[in-house]
Amino acid sequence: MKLFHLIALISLLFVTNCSSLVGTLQTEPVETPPEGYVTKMPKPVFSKEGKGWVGDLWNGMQYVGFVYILSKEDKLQHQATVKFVLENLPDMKVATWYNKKKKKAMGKVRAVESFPTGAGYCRYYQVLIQVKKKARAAVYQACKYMGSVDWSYDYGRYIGKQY
Amino acid sequence: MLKKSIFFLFFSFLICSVSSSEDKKEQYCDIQTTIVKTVDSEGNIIEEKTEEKVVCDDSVKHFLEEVGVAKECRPFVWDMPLGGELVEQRSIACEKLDGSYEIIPSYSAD
Repeated sequence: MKLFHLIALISLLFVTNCSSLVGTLQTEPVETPPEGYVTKMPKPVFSKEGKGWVGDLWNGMQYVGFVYILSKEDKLQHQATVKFVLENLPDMKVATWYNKKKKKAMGKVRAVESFPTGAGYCRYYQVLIQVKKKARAAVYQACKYMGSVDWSYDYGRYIGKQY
Repeated sequence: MLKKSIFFLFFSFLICSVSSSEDKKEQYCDIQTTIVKTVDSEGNIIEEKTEEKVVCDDSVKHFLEEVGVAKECRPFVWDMPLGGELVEQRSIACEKLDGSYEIIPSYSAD
């Protein structure tokens, strides 16, 4: 009986851990063309309600559910693209990364809205990732606080409520 | 004495020509010529002059910029959280002709 409880507890911890990576993130499926990559970003539809929870580091939720499918190189490319957009591009300018090798992956990122806060500034940014024929998009939030070197990202469970 | 002088003159000329050819190899400036024509309402040329301007370009361009695929390519630095620390990473982003940006693959360096 004790063993059963232990297994149940471990299973619960595992499920909780998984859901913190991908389960709590609601994404929007994007239609892909018969061949090639999605060329246009879908309309960013997001709710600002409940999007005030920012304070996490970069994590697996940033890959719109493709965290276990993308290669290490793809993830690095995507991370570089998000950082480039947040630091360098005005709202609505799109930056893209491609991996035309085996899995044929692609990612697009654009900031959709930026606003100052008391302790710095925040930006909503839209992410689209396509792996072969599957594509998903979501809107995230990141904030840069005064005195902080890196961006803070949202926890994810409030993302995409109104998709 | 005359022979020595001639030899010295020839030797100096040789050194001078070699050094000037070295300069040409390292030269990155070019003369841009513009012809300015002033015409009246009937199309008659009133004045015609040539303006010469020295244009120098010593900036290193990415090959995509060189071949006209991208408007501008620039490196950027970003921090990647790794093992509780922020590790500086470098990548290149190119502004394409349509105004969007593309991150150059496999250019991330540790």
